[in-house]
Amino acid sequence: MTENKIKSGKHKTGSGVNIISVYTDKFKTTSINLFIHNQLDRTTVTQNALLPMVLRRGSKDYPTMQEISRKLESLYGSTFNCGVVKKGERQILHFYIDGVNDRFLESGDNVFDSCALMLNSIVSNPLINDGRFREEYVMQEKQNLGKMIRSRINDKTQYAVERCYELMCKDERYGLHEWGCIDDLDGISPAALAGRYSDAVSNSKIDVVIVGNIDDSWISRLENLLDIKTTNNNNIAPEDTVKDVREVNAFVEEMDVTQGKLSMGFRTNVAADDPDYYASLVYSSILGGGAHSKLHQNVREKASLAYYAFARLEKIKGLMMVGSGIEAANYEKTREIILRQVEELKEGNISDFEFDSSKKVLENSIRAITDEPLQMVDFFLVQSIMDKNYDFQTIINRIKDVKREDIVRVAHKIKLDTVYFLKPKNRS
Amino acid sequence: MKTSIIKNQTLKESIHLCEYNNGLKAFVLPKRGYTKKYATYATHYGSIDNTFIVPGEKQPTRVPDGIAHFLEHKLFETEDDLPVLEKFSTLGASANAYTSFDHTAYLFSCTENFDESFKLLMDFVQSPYLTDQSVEKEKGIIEQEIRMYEDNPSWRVFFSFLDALYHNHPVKIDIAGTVESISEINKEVLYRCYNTFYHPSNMIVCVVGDVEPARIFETVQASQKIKEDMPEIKRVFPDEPAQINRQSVQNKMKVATPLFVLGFKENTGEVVERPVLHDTGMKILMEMIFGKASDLYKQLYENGLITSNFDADYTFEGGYSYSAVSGESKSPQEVYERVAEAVKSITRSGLSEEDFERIRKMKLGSYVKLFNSVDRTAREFTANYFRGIELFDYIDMYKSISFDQICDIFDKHFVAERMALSTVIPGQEV
Repeated sequence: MTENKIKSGKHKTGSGVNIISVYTDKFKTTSINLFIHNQLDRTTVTQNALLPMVLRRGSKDYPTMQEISRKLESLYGSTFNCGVVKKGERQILHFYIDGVNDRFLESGDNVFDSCALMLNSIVSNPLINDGRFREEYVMQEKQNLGKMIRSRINDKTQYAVERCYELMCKDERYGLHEWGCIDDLDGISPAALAGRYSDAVSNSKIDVVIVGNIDDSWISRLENLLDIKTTNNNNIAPEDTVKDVREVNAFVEEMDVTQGKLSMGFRTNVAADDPDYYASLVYSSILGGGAHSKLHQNVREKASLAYYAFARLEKIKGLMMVGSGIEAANYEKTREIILRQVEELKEGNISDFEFDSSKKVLENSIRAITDEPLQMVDFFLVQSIMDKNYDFQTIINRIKDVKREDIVRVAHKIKLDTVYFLKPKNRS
Repeated sequence: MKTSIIKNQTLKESIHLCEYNNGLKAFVLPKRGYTKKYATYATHYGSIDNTFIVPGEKQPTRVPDGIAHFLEHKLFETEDDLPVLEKFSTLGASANAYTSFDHTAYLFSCTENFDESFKLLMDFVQSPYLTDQSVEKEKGIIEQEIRMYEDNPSWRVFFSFLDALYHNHPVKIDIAGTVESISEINKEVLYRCYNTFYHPSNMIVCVVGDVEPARIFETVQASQKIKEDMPEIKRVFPDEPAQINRQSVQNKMKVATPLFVLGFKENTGEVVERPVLHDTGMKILMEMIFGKASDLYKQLYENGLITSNFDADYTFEGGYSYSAVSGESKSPQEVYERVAEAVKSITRSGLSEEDFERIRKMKLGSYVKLFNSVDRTAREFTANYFRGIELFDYIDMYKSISFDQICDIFDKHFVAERMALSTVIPGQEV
């Protein structure tokens, strides 16, 4: 099996940074990903969101974006990017750089080392003088972040999902959006932001994931090229994944749109390290994980109510979102059909086709992870969060082992929490 | 059937080609070590092909807008009970399809059961099964798809941009059509389109992954229901003036910050002779003028006129071509003026050769990276083929294109009078 060609290793460095290396010779590129783990928290969320935006404006070696970009272009179109990702109740700073492997360039350039140096320059040599970021950059990026937060309404499908989670988890960390809160922006000073960065970079768990045609010598080179040191003692609380839902919340918001968006937020009450996790994964696939699913068959194909209807799991926090775009008049009808499917699962009414296809489709997607560098990086990041070291085959075996009774058991744990409808406003 | 191989030393990749007697072509790009296999079966038939002369007939046929996309949806229905998508699911494969302006592609990817999945792909695309009832049922689903796009401001600002550029060309019409146009679609007209455009001579197969080309070629051969080649389909396009339709167009929608697309309409007839040269040159130029390292980008960004949500693309698809610069801005008009000014200044004082050399390297690297992904390789190969470009042609072009050629392409493309602006501003639609 080709999968054997992928080898991964974990190296704890003297500087407190974990280097996770993934060896494979099939890609044209080598990519380096640096993750700084933070707890999602009301007091730091907006500052953390702002950090990558300010950092990418310039470092001491490359003080403007133009200089950074010129350097990247001359490195055969190496790509650098950074931002925040939300994984459960973590807000993780992600810095990414990739470069074409030297053997495809016929140039003798050492693109990898130059990429590592660029990444290092941005992360460990930021434009902080006298304990503050450059004022002009901070001011502009505060405005840009404000625009991003306000523009969340542009993508209605995504917005309806995020808004539902926001309302559902308003008293939990998960209710915070990874871009933070617009009201915080005014109060962020260049000095406070620099203070936040120095705390994040020196006390957080930091993972570096490197994927490409590399060997051990590259790891030690990388270790030498990165000047980061962390105490790694910024403890992140374990996720609270169980909640007893007493009453289903319902919200309707009106907007000037033509199609309504229905979002239904569920609690799976199954943690990512619970033995039942894989059953919950198969459950969500049967419910709404593609053309084989109950939602696709019943909401789209049988009732012609929607173009899309999906169910998606949030692994780490133990949540599940069901979403569909519909005519406003079909709100009740669609909701009922969706709830009917949820009941069917509880009753164990799962056809052989649904059961087998769901597992096969999931297995297929797990195997395919190894073909996409970024998916592979995400996989190892999640493993690191969970402090697990599964290989792909173990996960596939766990999926294969899921039985119908496991799904029914999980179905009884999964509880609807919040229904949100983004409703088209009546036009005059 | 006739086979051949094209190898590329720089990329360390090869393309295997098989040409069949019925006019079909199959391409295989083996990717050793990959677990995923990706196959497309595509026809040179997209949303713009709404008027055509069926081979053997004299009069042109005009069909409702959105029909290529409608047909794409309907091909997933079969005579037996189990819909095509579900058959793929049973095999653990994931299938899909898309319709663009100039082609429709059916595809699947899988990590197991490739042979069966591939046979299924070959079979279902050649087996339309339409009933009046199923055509009517689909209208409800596609209507919701159209509504979804109507609420998408990026989509709206882009199609309004095309409307500003084009007077008559059907590229300005929404790919899915309108709720009204699809209401006219029926079984008969769908079959008529199918029989015209889904002929092997108008189609290609492309497979990327760890597969054996000879085996693929045999499966394709055995699957073919139509044995004879067919004369060329005549596509009828309205006359399109070289000038733009409107200099600016504005829509109101529920957005936070105005969105814009601006760009230049090209005199496509003038550049169609050497598509790879022109396309490569334009890709380099767009990066030189609008890329993250350009002076224009720096100026716009530092003045708070754009955010990192900013893209500059060039599109060439045979019958039409244009550049498009998109993003969000508190003042799209000011972005428009600064772009016009920057273009004027280059026209006056020329391009930078140093920028050119750096961007050429960058583009070469980005092109090599494309081959990381089996999905992207197959999709890019297919899209390029239908606009007359073979994917490997780019690598030599990136190496050989000269600064003089770039300057010449700049002069052809960036004509001030052919620049248009489309915006979506916050507000309620009237």
